[in-house]
Amino acid sequence: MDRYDEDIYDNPFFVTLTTKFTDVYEEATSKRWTLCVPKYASVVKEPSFSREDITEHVVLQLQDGGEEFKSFSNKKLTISNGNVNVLPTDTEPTKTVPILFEEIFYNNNNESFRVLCINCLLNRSGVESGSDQKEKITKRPASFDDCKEILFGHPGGKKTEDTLSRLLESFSLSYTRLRGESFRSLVDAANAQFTKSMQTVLKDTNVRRSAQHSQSDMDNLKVAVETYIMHALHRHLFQTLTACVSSADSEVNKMVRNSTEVKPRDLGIRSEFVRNIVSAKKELVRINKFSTPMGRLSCLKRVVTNLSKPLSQNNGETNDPLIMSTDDFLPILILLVVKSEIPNWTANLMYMKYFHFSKTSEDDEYAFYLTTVEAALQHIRSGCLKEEAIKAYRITESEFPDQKTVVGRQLSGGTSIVDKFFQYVQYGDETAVTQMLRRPRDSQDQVSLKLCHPLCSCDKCAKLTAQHRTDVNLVTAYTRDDRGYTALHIASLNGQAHLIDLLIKNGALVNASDYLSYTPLHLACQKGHQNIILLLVHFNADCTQTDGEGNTPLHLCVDSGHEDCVKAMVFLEQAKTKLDINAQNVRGDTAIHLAAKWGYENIVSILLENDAQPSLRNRKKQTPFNIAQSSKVQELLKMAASMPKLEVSRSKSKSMSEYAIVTKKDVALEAPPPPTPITHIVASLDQVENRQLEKLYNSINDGDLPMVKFHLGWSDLEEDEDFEASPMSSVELCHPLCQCDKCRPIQKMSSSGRNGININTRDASGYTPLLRAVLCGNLEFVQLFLQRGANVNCQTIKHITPLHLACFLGENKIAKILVKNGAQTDVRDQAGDTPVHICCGKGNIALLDLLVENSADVNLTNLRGNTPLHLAAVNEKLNVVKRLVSLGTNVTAVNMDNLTPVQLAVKNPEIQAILAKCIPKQSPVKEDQSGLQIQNSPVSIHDLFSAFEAKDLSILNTLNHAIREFDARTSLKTTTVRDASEKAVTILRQQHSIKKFDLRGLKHVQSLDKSDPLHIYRLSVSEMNPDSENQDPQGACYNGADDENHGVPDACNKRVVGENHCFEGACGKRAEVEDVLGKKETALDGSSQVKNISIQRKQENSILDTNESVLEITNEDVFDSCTEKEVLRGPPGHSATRTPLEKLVTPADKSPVVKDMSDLTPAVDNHEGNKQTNAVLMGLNSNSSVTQTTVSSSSVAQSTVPSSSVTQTTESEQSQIPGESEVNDSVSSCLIEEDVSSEPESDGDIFEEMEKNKLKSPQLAS
Amino acid sequence: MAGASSGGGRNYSFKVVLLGEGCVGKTSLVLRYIENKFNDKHLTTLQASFLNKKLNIGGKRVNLSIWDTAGQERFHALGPIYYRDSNGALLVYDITDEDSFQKVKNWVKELRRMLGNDINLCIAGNKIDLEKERHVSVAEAEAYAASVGAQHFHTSAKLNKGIEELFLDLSKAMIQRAGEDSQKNSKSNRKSVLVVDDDEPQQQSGGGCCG
Repeated sequence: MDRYDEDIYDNPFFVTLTTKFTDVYEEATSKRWTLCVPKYASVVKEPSFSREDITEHVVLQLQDGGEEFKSFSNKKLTISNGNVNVLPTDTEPTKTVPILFEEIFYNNNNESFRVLCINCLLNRSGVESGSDQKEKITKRPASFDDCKEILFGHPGGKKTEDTLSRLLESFSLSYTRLRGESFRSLVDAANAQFTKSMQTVLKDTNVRRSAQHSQSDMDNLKVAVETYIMHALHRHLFQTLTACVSSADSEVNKMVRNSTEVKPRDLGIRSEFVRNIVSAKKELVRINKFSTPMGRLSCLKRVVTNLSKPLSQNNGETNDPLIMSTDDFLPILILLVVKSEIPNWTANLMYMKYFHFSKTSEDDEYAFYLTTVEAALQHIRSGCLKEEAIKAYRITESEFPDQKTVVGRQLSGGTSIVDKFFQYVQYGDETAVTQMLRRPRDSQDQVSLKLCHPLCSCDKCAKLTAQHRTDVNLVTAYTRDDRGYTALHIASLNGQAHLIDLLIKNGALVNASDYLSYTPLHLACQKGHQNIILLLVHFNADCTQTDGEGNTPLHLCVDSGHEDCVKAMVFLEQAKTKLDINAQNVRGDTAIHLAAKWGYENIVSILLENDAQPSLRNRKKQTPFNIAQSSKVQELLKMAASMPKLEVSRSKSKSMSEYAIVTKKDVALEAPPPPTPITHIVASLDQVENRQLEKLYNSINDGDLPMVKFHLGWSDLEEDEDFEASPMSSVELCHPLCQCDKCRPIQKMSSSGRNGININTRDASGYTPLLRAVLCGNLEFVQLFLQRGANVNCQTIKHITPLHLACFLGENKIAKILVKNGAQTDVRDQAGDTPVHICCGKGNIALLDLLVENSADVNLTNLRGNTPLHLAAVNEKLNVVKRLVSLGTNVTAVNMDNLTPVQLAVKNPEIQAILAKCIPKQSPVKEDQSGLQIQNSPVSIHDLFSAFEAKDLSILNTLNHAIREFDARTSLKTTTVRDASEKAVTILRQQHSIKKFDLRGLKHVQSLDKSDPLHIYRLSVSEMNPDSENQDPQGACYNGADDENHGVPDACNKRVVGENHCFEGACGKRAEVEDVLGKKETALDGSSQVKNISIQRKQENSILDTNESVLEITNEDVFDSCTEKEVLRGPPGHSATRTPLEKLVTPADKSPVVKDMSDLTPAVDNHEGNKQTNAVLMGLNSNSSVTQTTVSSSSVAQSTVPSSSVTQTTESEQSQIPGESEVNDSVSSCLIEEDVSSEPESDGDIFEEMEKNKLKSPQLAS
Repeated sequence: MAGASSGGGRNYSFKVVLLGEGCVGKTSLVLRYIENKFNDKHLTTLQASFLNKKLNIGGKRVNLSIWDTAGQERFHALGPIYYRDSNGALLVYDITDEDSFQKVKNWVKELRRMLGNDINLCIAGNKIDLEKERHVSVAEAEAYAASVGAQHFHTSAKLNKGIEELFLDLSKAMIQRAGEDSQKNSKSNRKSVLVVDDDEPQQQSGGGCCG
């Protein structure tokens, strides 16, 4: 009704009044009477107006502010509820005429008087029917059907409708193209569409006629057209719009989610409105259900109406309307936005503001509401709300109705000590808290001082002790407030990180939950205190505990949009907890549901990268995709759901350490079986940022320096800083996150780049960025990486080091740099090849020189028993052969096929000649007794072995006896039970325990920094965990391992520890290695000599030898013992030490004697595990298993067929694996592919394969 | 249709923003002004945050939209969202409260900085019924108003004094300015201003937060 408008000055009635009845007009205006003017349409046909007509319409108010009026002609009437009521007289009944609008006029004295535009003349009756008809048309279309009626509800309208829908259809199709366009072009496109539609509609003569009839009809038409087209376009349009503003939305959402506890009181909302807020909220949450801007605006208006609705239900007598000013309205709207849980407010605002094309007279009001919404959003975004919420929280928390009195009362000490305590905690007053927590102990001391005797129980003393016991003025870390909060809760809530350790030290329960089942971790997550999350988790806070609504801490930090906290949680998940990233709360929402709902793009991608399932459905059967408002998030989710996902799962093969990358095609269809805890841990290891690494490697391949830096998170600023190149393996951090003085530089150096990639991150096949750079032959990168602390001796799972690669690829410069940076020259790869082997095989003499200069051993054999000379001879590398001979290589060395280099060089007589010249007179020594063939052994070891053989049997028996006695010892008995698979489990456990390593790390940093979390831990362990005292302090770090070795006495553990220290210290020095081995012997019988171990090995061999049933492994044993010798001789690298010891396990199943030895292996593993990354262990394991397989297959071949046919076996092996046989042609490509999922045999290293092939041909010729 | 065809220079739509500290009586002031409008419960929502009133000043029709703003200090930063593209601003202070006058001065400064001379300012010293407790001297207030080119009124919402005149004068001033504007800039209307200002407040608010 308010919408009707006309210019009163054009109204015939008014014109008549002002021109013909000037006296009446003058009097009325000077006395400020009210004029009623019938609307234009109702009077335009009237020929003329009588004085009576006029005077009937001039009314004066009888009483100021009242409803009763008297007309100039003395008729009584009332004006109320938007109507003018002519009160009944004798002749006429009551007549009610609606008021259309009111205007204020001014008389000559600038005094105002009212002019009411009414629907018809007050003193006529005939016009009513006409007015009804008019009413119908003026009505604002209220529904979609109304709009259709207006547009097409006349004969011939069908045609217009068809045209219009065709127009819309074509537009909808093209609309997808607007995706990604700027916001303005969206608006323009939609506006163009609106204009076109208006044109179309106005071509219809019927519509045009009525639209031209009046402004309001035109307005209605506009609204109708807008409704119609926006209804059709809404889906596309709103989606695109949401995408446009999604970042703003997620910003708002984050703020909103962090302010959910805001109460009306906190925002200063008057209590009168609180009741109305409920109904207003009910209305507001429907806003997304309206498709058109108009619909949403009217929804907003209804909200306002609901808000200012008087409370008539309760206090009908005081019908005073609630006057709502903006002072009230704005805070209420802010509250409503916060509570509405609508995730796309910005989009809604934009939609209503810019896509409402049919501006009409009412729009000023809507504009105001929109402005208020905008202001509310702005306020929320500005973050002020959060402060208010916190402030408000603090006020409620302190529990005192009058905040000002609190201080005074507390100082007097009269109030509850608990409140005081909590207040100290809240504001982080460390000294006060310490003091209060210490008081129980202090007062106990005091009391005991006063006693006659500590044990005295005389009346006086009893009274004293009783007093102490009932002292109410004491607090403990267990004290709770009226919400069930402990001090730890409050410290977590308020971000008082430094109090966490203090409280826990004083016994606070880290997993204590309040009435709503919130743990301190929940609160820290909700508030986004990352440091506290880390601390709490270090103290073993349970990341899986759920609150009353089934939310895990992860849910809460996702819900509140704390990206850093989500990262922390996810990191911790990988590190030590079993947090289920797909946990569902009571509504069935997973963390990713929440992230998708609130449009936190980054969090969605973090979660997806960490195995969050994008296909789970909540209670409403919605997947995260369905919930997501932002199309960017939707795209992320769609991609994650459709992309074949790398999933590491355990293969079922008996070797437990093998992992296959399974390409999972359809994640959405099948729900994965719940992972066992172990798999879970393992899976998380290999999956370290697979996708990110891929990107990094791509940029390394492209030689894109800036991108590489970006992926590794290096800023250009750091570039100038000098990075000390220190191999990472030699540095141990107290804790992966430790920031103590010692660790910080290292942390910085290896600081995770984007998404946790650092310079030593390995991919599934064990490649680090350095290895990649070498593979690409990119000298610049190699230098850069080394400078930034890349481990120069890193190995792939096939034990290929950068140096191997450089040799293989003939990258002399790179090799030089690597060696200069401390690359070990004698590392063996999976085939047992050292870099020397490779460069000899390649004939790269410059590299050979380089290696030899750096103390590389030219006599090492690979798994096939080939020395570098063998390879050089086979490959006819004359220069290399010459050089090797001049270096004093053992020319007579025999490989596993009993061939010397001379025999291999059949093709090249020149080489043969050179070699033949060098062959010493005596033939190679044959070890008759055991069939051992000692090849190229250095003098010392050779002597050693001869000495062994010279020993008489009795010594062997003694040793044997000693071993048996050791076997009888209970400590070791328990470990004999283990089979190969259990060992793998142990390793995994150990890895796991390593991750929990903080136990150990804490000790080291104790005195460095009091605020250091680790320091606290140590204190807490010693003080609050009496159990730990039972444990051997030295063994504490092996807690995980101890779980396995229940039966192992501490003494044994200690020994292990001792050895480990030796290993660490020794690091490549032969004497010490021997020492270590000697210590092992000490563990056996406490008296053996260094050499005994070798004797023992020898003895095993002989035992095995005589045993017919195990005859076929003889050769391998020979090999094993050879390797063992090399270990003793050469500078042991990681693999050198490890491999032989691992191999000892191989015969273990067959010989009871050896089992004892295998017991030692875990100890070594233990050591290795501590030193190396988990992945190395993984590689180690797979290596050992592969070795087993290879060895057994070849040994079978040897025992059943003559040696000449071995080649055939090899050949057939190769033909079984066609993929591998092609390797020689494209070695480098194979290197890149590294298909882990292939069979163990195919796991064989390419170098080995290559070598096989080379060896094959000469042998066939012979 | 008659109104529209002849409307041309005779129909105006003005936005007036109401600024001032919390308890200076902004709301009562504007309610008192609007109150004389016929009492219609189902027609108007009973809220005083947005009100409009139709005036006819010598045949010139004015649709006055009065936008209330939140007076709380913490919402001060939201001011620009409200006052952008308004034609007039009514700044209300409490004559018994020196601080509120200071606030008005701040607002004036801000409005002049942001909107320049496009806006008609009108300062109202409210609560003259409490003349005894006056803390803001008449001379000072009027001198200040004159110095910033604003009109000054003494009002009392309680006694309904000065309010009509205030709005009438403000409206007249706005009509005059609108006339000048259309002369200067033949095609200047609210819509074009609206487009320009759309981007502005965002930048401004960004800068405003820091400052």
